[in-house]
Amino acid sequence: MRIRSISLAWFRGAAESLTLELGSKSAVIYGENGAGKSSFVDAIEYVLNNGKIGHLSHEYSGRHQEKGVINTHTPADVSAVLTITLDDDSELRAEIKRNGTATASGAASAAVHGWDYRRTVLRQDEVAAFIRNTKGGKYSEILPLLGLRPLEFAAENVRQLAKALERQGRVRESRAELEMIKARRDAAFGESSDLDLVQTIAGRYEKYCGQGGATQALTRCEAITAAIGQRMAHYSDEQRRHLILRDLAGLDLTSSINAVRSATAELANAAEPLLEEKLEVLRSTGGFIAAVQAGNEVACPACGQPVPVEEFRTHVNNEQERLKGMLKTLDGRKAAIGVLCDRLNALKSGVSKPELGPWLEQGGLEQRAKELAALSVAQVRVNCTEDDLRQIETAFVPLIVTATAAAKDAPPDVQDLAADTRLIEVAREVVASRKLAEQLKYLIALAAFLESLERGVRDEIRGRSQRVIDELSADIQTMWTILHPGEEIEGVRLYMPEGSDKAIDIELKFFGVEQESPRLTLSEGYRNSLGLCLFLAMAKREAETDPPLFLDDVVVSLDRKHRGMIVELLEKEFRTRQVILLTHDRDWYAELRERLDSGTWLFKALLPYDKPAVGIRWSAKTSTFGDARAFLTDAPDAAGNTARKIMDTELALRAERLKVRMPYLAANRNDHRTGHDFLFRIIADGAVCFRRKGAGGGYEAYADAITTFRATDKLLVTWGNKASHGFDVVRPEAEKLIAECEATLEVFICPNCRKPVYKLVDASAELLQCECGHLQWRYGKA
Amino acid sequence: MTDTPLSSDWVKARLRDARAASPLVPVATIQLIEVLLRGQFIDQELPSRKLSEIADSLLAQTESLDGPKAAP
Repeated sequence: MRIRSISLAWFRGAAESLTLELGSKSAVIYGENGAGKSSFVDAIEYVLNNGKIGHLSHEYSGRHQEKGVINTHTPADVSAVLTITLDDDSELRAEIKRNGTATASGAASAAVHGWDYRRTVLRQDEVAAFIRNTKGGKYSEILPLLGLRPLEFAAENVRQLAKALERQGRVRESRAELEMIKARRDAAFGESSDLDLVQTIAGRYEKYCGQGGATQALTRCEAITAAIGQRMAHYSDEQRRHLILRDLAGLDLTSSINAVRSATAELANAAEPLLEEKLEVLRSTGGFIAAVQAGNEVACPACGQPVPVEEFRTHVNNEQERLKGMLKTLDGRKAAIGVLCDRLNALKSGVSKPELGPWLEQGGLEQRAKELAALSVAQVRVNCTEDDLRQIETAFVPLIVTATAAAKDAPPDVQDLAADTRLIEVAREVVASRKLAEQLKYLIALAAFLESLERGVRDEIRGRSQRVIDELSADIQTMWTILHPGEEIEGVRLYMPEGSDKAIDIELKFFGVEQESPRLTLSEGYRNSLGLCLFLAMAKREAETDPPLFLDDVVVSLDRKHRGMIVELLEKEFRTRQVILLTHDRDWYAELRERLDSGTWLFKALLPYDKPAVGIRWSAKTSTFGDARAFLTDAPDAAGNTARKIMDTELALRAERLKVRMPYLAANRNDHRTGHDFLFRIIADGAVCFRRKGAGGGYEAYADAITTFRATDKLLVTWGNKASHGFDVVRPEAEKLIAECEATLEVFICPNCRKPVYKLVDASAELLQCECGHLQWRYGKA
Repeated sequence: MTDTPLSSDWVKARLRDARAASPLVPVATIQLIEVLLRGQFIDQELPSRKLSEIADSLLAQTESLDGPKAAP
């Protein structure tokens, strides 16, 4: 997909109307600092980032950045408008009102919004941003290229499902409950096996129910309980009172209270520092990010402790284990409260029985019985406070102590019945808990299944990431080699650090030594060069949506030699993509004009910015000979004048490149030289400096070139000036002038390799030549 | 670059690996997870409400079983 044109009206530096006509070609746009070239890039960013421009993010730019997006001198009641037209004639039009709110419309919206800004635009200040980013940040930036979003979703959904199952399946609570049942079983049956337990039940069943009947342990327990109940029904009040007192005596409220207190204390001890540490996390977040970038120690986001990056993972794992331990304590506390409440209910039930009336009265315990009746056990279960525990301890434990003393006087048959009742209760609980244990086992298996599945998905993510990263690395290496041929920095590649799940970093060989980060050894210029390779390698993978690339002043810190290599990079790797280069570097612009294929590239220059009301303006000096020929029929003088203006600009660029010494002129005349002025000096120097390879292999003066220059110079002085000032040039004259001008510029292109004389050959920088060396220009030989 | 969908073979292989580690998991559960992995689970990060519903349906599968049935 290519852009045919970008039109701006009162957007950023543009005034009423400004259009970048690309005709779907690539383009180089030159403009001095502040000329307004980045307004086009801003327009692209505005559209791709939903009305936001990164460098305008500031408290003073307004809620919708309207103070920066809209030209300060926009007439009242006029909206800013930007329009992007694609090569299929579809259009995206955004109208931005004075308050910054915008409406976008047009058939091109879908295509344009499919472009990822980070793969479409590279600005000067963003070139090394990827290198500066953290490992996690690098991973996030590359993630969209990995095509792994579905896998990331899958892994996260599986993880969250496992958590939901654990929560809704009450896995932790069930574990705690089973532990409590096991403790009661151990207390009642000691180290006995399941078989011993079943035999105990069988023995009691025979004792209370006789032979035959139920065979299942649970059914037998229920039958025994019923039989004991029937036997108790025939007991006297005295016997029943003893039985109840035996039950009450078995309620160990004190150990339950102690269990709750112990768990509460453990939680309190752990919770206080935890809270402080969590607060510290918020404070240390900024420092954490900075420290990671600096590669020093980092403050753990979980607890705030300073730790070396390498140990960070282990440290986090330890923190997770600590929190899991706390959760277990929390579960234990809940279970202990549950047991305490069960015992309180049993106590309430026992004390409320009428058989205990005389005993309570005799022991002066009626008040305590009333308090017990008023106690809300449900409330204690929800929120058991220390006050509750104290009340239970002072008011209700004495009931049990008294009951325990009284129970000692119970007749042997009652003691025996009470002991059997308790034993069968625990046995029934143990047998009944088998279903819970089975369910828990299943849930644990399901959790392990999901965990294994998540691990499998994450392994796949890692494997696929590695493949894409290897491909990216190969592209980066290719591009780096084009920009830095034969240099001792090689093996540039992305890698996933060992043991890291979502991290990517860059490594390279610096004079044969492996370096884990380019920040260790590379200069700013090299880092920017590497940043450019990284951006282009990632952009190259966007072949499907084929967005154009905007490179805004990205070669500022590259020297002339490396800037020159970018042309080769673009020609080799991005020949089929639309690339918009913006630069304030006049030398580079001139070089690009010479070297890039004018069939696929446009070259446009902006005038220095004047004032907001006038806005950004194109320079008229960027016409082509095609433009000149278009005037031949109706306005031959305009055709000649256009050709002359082209030569003023083009010859100035070539004279500068060839280091042709121009005489100093007074005042601003230095800035208003004509094509004739340059050609006059080029002819003078060229007789000695401009050479071509002769038939014998040696170099000889390029006499034909000088002849062509002279012929063109003669026409520029006569017909060119006539066209500009006399307006009486006829069509054949203008036609010949244009042809001669083209021929002169063609002289600087090698007939063999078709490359211009641009290449700096030796270290002393005395020689320029074409790619194959057929043509040469030796500096300072005039 | 568009995101790569998960192939049926890939999903089955992952489930087979996971099931090997946890043979207690019932067939019905694995079938449900397979459907999710090829649909809802790869479309987006699901909201907790939706995940709760799925968890409930998995728990219901355990309750409807007369003791969990191992996958073949």
